[in-house]
Amino acid sequence: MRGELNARIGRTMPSPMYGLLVAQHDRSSDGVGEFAVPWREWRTARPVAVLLGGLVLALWPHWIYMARRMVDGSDEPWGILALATVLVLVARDRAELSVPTRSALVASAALAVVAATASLVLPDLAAAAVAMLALSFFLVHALPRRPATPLVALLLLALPVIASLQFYLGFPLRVFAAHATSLVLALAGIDTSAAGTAILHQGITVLVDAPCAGIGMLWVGSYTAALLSYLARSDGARTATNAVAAALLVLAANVARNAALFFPEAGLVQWPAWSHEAIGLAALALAVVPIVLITSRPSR
Amino acid sequence: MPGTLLRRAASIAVLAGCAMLSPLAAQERPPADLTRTLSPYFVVDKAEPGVDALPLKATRVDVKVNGVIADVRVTQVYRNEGNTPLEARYVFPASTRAAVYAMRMRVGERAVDAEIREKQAARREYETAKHEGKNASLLEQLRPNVFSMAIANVMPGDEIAVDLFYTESLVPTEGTYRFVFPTVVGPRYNGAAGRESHQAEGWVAQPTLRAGEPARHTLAMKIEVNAPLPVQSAASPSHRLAVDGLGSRTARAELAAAAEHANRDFVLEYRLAGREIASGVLVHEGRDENFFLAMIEPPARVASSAIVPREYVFVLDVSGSMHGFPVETAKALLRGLVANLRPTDTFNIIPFAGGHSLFAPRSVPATRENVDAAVRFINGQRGSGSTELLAALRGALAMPSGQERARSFVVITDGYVTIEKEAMDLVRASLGHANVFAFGIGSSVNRFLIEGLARAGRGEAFVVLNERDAAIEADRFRAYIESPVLTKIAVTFRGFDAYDVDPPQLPDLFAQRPLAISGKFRGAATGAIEVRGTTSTGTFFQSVDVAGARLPAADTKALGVLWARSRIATLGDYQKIAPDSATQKEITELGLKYRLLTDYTSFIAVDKVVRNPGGAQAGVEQPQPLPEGVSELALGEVPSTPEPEFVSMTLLAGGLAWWLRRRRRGGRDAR
Repeated sequence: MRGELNARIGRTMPSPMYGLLVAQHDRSSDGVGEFAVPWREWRTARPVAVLLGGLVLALWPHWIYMARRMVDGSDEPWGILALATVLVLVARDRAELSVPTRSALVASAALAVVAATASLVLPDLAAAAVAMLALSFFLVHALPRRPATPLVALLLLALPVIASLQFYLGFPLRVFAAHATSLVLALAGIDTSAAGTAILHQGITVLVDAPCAGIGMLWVGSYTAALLSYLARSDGARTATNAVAAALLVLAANVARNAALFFPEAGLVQWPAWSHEAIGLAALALAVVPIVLITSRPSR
Repeated sequence: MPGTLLRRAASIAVLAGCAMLSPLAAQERPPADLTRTLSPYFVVDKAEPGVDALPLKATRVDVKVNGVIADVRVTQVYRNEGNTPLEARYVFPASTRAAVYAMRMRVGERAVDAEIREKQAARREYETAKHEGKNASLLEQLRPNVFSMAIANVMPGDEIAVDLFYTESLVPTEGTYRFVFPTVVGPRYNGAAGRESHQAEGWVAQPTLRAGEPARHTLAMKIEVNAPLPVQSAASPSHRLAVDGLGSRTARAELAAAAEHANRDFVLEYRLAGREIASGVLVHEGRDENFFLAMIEPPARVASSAIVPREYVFVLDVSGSMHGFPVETAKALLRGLVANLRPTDTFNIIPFAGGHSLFAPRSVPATRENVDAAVRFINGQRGSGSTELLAALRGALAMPSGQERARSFVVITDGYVTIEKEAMDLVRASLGHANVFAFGIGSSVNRFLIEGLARAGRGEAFVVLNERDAAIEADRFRAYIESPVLTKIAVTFRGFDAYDVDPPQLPDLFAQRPLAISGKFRGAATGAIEVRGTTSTGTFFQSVDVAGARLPAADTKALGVLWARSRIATLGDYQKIAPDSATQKEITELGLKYRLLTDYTSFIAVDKVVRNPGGAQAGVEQPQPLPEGVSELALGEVPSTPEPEFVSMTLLAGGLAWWLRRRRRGGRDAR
């Protein structure tokens, strides 16, 4: 069946719906262990690589912008991990690469033009997002048997979004974390109250400031969910469900982390300095385990 | 096309409107220093590419102590390793008694001796030289123990060394001489603009390194002690130090250059062999004026049999800068102080940070139960929040007291505030018949506040460097309180025409140290200096023959500047002075006449060569390390719960995902 499909891919230009159908068909396999593809299969990927190279070259101003953001200290360089993951996944699935349909190529090129135009009127980050969509569009159609949504999610995570997430999402997350943590502590019998992003206890203030908002955990959770959704060949709806579940689990884990760290920070207990990091990682593990179980769950 | 023209016209109109309105907007803006809250902040590395943000590379200190006079040369070496011309600014601490009498700037082979000028004139001269592109350096006094250095037009590759010279007298306490060289200005709490704890002074906003980061410049030190008697012992409680020459009259100590040395006060303590002749007179006969410095040995402390019931009010700083090691040291000290009280004494404790509270509504007797409860109360204190010292002092001083008890206030703090003189004025105005004793806690305390509070409160200052010393200092305090060495001190001159004597009134003497009196005299250095006072056993009288008790000294030229520095301290160090007052004028005249750095006079050195035509340069502030033992909470940071490191998170998530998927697949394969 797979050989037949490959032959068809080489001959015809499948529609996105077709790719989705293939992904549905191949869902039983998680794809691990497919690196043992013979070198000759790169030859079939060569035209795709040339086209991809052209697209990447056309989008160079956006890469320059992203590289600058990564090195000048204005954002975290975490996007490199998502980008590297996409490269590894594409290399891993190179046997399935095929030249996208003409309409997909035209659409990718059109998105590249939109990205170039957008950089004149929109913020650089928005223009880079459009560039990532152009790249996503190409890759999704070059890998029609692989799930589209996780790939798009990984490429969007490659953008320098941490500073923007902190700016726009950080404060609501901090308010939520402070109030939820205060509630948890109150349930545990600790006399606390929340005021804005602060937790108050007998004249002591413990602040849920920007580094405590959970943005880092949220990024790691989203990345894990996107990667595992790709490996599990999850469709769009399933990927979205996985992403929402991951976000909720991470938010809960962040509250648990804040509640545990409140004790040493408020001076109620004296714990060694390394315990701070250990508690944070333990809380993240509480979120990651169910994320892995949910995203790896076989579809109905 | 008409649309384009219309848009252009609209744009020009908007720009023109903005241009016309901008002066109005500028006029509306209130002065920046009234609205900005100026506080220390953490430094951001490499914020500007090509700019060397750390131009101070080294500080070298050469100290020569002759008898009771220390002569110190401090050399600061600035080097620009970037590719942009710099104006370097560095705020640094100094001894509270330092009489800075000269400065020299060295650029390559050229040396420029600095001139003393009125502060504003020196600032104008510096700004002019800076804009003309000349090398210039300006030394200003911000506090009696905080100075600032500004160096203009440090060109890429340039190395500029600035020497400043100061002298101070060393008076032994309990037989121990102590030379202190502060190395770091602790981060000062500066309340919100408009509050009484706020000072609109730009220097307070210091770039500060993170906790545990060493200074970005090295510190090296050489000390030579020439004493009239053999040096019996010498050691540093603050730094590891090699000392040569113990047992001889000349001892030498050296501290090799290292950045790790520059985050705490350097302290050298030494004792002389045998019983030192504590009473004596140093004399300098100049062309226009003659000066003397008399050291009068006090009586030995005699334990008092009379038990006077006392009330103690302990004011304990538990602000963010005291978090961790300092507050634990303060708690150990306070436990020792409370445990030393007699049952007939009463006490209360006022911990303060942003607000303050009371251990008890009124002072309670020092019974076993109350002391135990106080120890529990003390143990429950933690350091966090701001440092509203004035409100706490006001609350303590306003507490009702029993008339029958002698009252003592004990302030325990690191002194990291900007309202030193306000606190001293408050103590002086509200103290009544009580005394204030001040304990500085930590490796780099603000000695100006600690000494000033004690001076204003007619008490004694203590500095506790670490928890080990806490018990020793608590015992010293008890001995001081129970048996003051000498009170109601009066000095008279017989056959010795002394004038402008400083201090004009000697405070009660609690510690065992010589009384130091400086002044000018006319005619011959003959006659006697007579001291009368009261001890716990009766009256005390000592007469020192000026001619017969001459102390040996290689050079007494420093007596003039030491007298002037002492006079300036009496006039203005420990109180707020109204602008344009007669006192300000007198301090300015003293500074100019004796070439001394003061609040109103500065040293300025300008090279003739234009190095940087146009004068374009980047301004950089040399960052301060956090003093040893001081946590980052000192910068007003509230405790928080930051996330783990990103690398740890991704490794954990990746590892867990890999392991769980492997387990699941293993389970499927088994089925």
